[in-house]
Amino acid sequence: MTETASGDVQGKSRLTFADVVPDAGIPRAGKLSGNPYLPEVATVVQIIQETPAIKTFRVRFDDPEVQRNFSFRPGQVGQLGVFGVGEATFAITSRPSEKEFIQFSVMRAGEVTKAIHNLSEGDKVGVRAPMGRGFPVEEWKGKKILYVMGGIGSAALKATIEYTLEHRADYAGISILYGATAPQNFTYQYDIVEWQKRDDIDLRLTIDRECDGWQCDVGLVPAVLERMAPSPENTIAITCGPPIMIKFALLSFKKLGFTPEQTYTTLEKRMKCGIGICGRCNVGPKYVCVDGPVFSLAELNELPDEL
Amino acid sequence: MATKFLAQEQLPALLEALAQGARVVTPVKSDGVVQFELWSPGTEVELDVLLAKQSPKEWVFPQCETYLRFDYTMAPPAEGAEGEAALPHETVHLRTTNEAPRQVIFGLRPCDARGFVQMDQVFGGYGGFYFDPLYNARREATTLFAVTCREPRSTCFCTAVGGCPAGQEGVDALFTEIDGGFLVEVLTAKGEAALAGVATAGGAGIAAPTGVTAGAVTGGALLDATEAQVAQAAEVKMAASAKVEPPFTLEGIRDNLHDNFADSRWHDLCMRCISCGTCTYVCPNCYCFNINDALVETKGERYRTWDNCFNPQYTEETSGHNPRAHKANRFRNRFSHKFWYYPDKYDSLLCSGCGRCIMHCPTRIDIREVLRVMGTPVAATAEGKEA
Amino acid sequence: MSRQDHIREFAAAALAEGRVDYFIGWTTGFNSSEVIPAFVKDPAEVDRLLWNPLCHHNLVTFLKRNMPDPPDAKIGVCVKGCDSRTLVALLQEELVDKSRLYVVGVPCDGIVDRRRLEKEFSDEMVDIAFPEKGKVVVTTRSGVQREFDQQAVLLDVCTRCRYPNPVYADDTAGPAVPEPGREETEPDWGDLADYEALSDDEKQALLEKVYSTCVRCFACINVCPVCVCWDRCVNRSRQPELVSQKVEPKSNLLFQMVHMFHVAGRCPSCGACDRACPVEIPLYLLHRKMNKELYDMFGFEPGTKLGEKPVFQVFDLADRFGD
Repeated sequence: MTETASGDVQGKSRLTFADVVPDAGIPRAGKLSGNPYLPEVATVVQIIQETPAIKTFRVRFDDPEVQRNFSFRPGQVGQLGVFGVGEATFAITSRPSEKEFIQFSVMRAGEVTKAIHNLSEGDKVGVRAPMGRGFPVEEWKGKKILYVMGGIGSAALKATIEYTLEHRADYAGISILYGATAPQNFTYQYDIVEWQKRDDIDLRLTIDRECDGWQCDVGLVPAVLERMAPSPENTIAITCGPPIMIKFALLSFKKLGFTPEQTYTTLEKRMKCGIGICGRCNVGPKYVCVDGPVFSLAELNELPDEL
Repeated sequence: MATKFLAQEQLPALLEALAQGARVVTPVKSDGVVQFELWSPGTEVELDVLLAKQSPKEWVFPQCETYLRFDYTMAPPAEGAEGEAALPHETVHLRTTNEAPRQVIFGLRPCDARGFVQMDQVFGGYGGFYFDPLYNARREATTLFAVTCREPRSTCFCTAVGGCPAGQEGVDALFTEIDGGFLVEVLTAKGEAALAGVATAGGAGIAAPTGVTAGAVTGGALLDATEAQVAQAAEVKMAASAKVEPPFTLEGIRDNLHDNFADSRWHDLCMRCISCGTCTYVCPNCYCFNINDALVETKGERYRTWDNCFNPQYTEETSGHNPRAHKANRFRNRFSHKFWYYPDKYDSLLCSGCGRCIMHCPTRIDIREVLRVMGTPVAATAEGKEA
Repeated sequence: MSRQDHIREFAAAALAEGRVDYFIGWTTGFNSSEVIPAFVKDPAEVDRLLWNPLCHHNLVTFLKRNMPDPPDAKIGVCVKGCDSRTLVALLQEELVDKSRLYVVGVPCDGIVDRRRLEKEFSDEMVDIAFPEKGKVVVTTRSGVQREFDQQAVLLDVCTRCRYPNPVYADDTAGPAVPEPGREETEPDWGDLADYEALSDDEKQALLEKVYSTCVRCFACINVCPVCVCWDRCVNRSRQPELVSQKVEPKSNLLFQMVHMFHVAGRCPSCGACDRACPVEIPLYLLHRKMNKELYDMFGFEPGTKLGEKPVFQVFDLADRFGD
């Protein structure tokens, strides 16, 4: 490998302060202010209790221009933080077309998520978004999209589902398989109700065990997936959920004939900076925060086995 | 760029002249321990001991750095507000802090300087990634005056990773000890600017670059170097390079680390590793860090501190899952990061061959041994591959 | 037969007979002025094992939770007197499975302070030899050679050693060394005199100065055999956050206080922490001071009797503080 004193190899180079100016057009150069560590202050405008352990937070940037100019690709994430406690990474779950707020769905699990769950409407949070690589939804035009998700995995796919539903005509078909342990553990029930009204998508909900009044599928997600037996022809398969569900869903996809290039998932890691510098979220040479969290199975197969 | 000579006894005067416009940091021996400290007139600069305990990286990348402060306050309601909006509400004020005092680090070694260049890639958003203003502000405010290594140690391996005892990467001016003083090779505009205005005696001074005022600095004597002095310096450099025996060749290491990822020999190599952070913290280019918040009542800060991939909880997720729960995996990660992951992303190694990790590891884990073993193809036998 | 030969013989037998999966001893490091821990799996390789006054590592640390690899390995280990006390401390609390251990005790004449020797030269030491008993010969990279009287360059901990023969071992590598007569003598706490003479404010200032260089590398905690929580240390805890993660003198001092108090009653001040510290903080002194207090209060010397419990693990109504 070659090294030069200026750090300039094969046309790539380091950035300097002179490069990181407003309107520089460098998408990854961080905030316009040039400081990617500086959060934008936002206010919590609505909190929705999705399930006993999951809340959705809708936040509005205090700076109206930031709110107006905010845009993101479906699948991108953001760092949502409580000043004094810390930040954590969450998928942005609002529709990309939503202008009034941005939305994160948070499962209560540790120090930061506990503090987030203790927030009320009107409280201040810090947001560093958007970050990471989203789903290549433009590339997928003309294809069928198959979403297979479980539990909080719906958060990672929500924005992308809404985007493809909004642009339904661009896609040859949309199937959603969503599994939860029990009926009360589905997130976005208010949106699912709207999905159920549509006749242009194939929506299947499944729970783990029989339950009075439940009229949809019963069974673990991978099992229901194999019963569905979707064809891999011209289809992109995306899965997200608890690690064990992802593992078996990927096996099921393979059994059904999906190639690694057709299969996508999102990875999760302990993160701190979210901008590919602090060094901790790597799998091999890839950082989940900037090179992911979206990865195709083909890309994952190239990475060392250290998930 | 200019080549000058500085007499030994003029070194304090030169440092004092530099201290007029910047703070000066040099290796200082205290109770037998050599560390990079702030220099002030009268402080003796330690150049006989080859390496300070730690690299000077903390002067550009501090071990603990607060970069955000916040205050929670109550904001009064807007005029004419009604109902709930008429109540005061809690708000938060943010302030960023980014101190970057001008400084000159004198007496570091070429491997230390190279460490900065290697870190510049990740902090500088090489390849279009994010730009770190905290590191870069300090980096731009820092001038590096390195001193050629006259007596490399047996633990040095700079030549194996593309450096050398008189290496110039990242160096703004290189000082080489010769009879009576130092040969001073000014290598960059930044080096010139720092030395600008240093009064000379009996020779042409370094002209200040356009736009830089000479300032009211006096003292120091940078004479034009004679041919004999230049020749002697060249000899010193060559002799030093000859003393560094490359323990491995870089060729193939990256691919072999990739192929050997699941090899059980990682376990054998790390048996005596105690999974502390010594190697990372003394290294001139290890840069991984942690971010934490602190809040006392309504005032708080967000700060970053050095962290290391040997920390057992470095990658531990909230769910409890830890991709590198086993010591051998963490061990493998450090060497793979330095010789495979980092070069893949930033086209730069993340090791400058200083050997501090070997010297200071409590059980003397040897990076050269690790690379010799794991950087060779699995099929190669000990006899077949020349170390 | 030298102690080194004994060690090799014991190791070879234990490995060949399958009594241990690997045997931990000492061997030469990257040059012959360094000694490092050795992990031997093959009985044919026991000649790597050596014994000399550079064998300073306390190998008991490799028996702690999450150190053995594989976790259920049967392990053979060499222990000096001080090391054996840390092992006894672990066994007192059943933190190590005795049934998976084979312990070779090594009576010890004292370990040389390599750092002190290092400071005698500005050039690198490349060889440290012991051509005859009581003599240390150091050679540097440039060929300078100097001889030292071994007694004059021993580790401070060794000049005050009360337990030169291991207090616990399955086999012993050679004859015992003369005991220092513990029954008749009190421990020598003379190394603490200067520190104890300081006023409280002076002590505070000294400690803050000394710990200001701490880099929170955790070398001291990880190398300490009785720091068994090493990979889940309270010093890293965020919920609750008891010690600030900030690297600053007061937090660093608290970090060390936590370490010191948590090992109190199990630490024999073997000095492994001190030797591991990359910035040469005199950690050993603090632990010595703690042990003096323990001795004065309870007459207790950690890790000396297998049947005992560490002093803070028991509550005795008869305990009294002063009068």
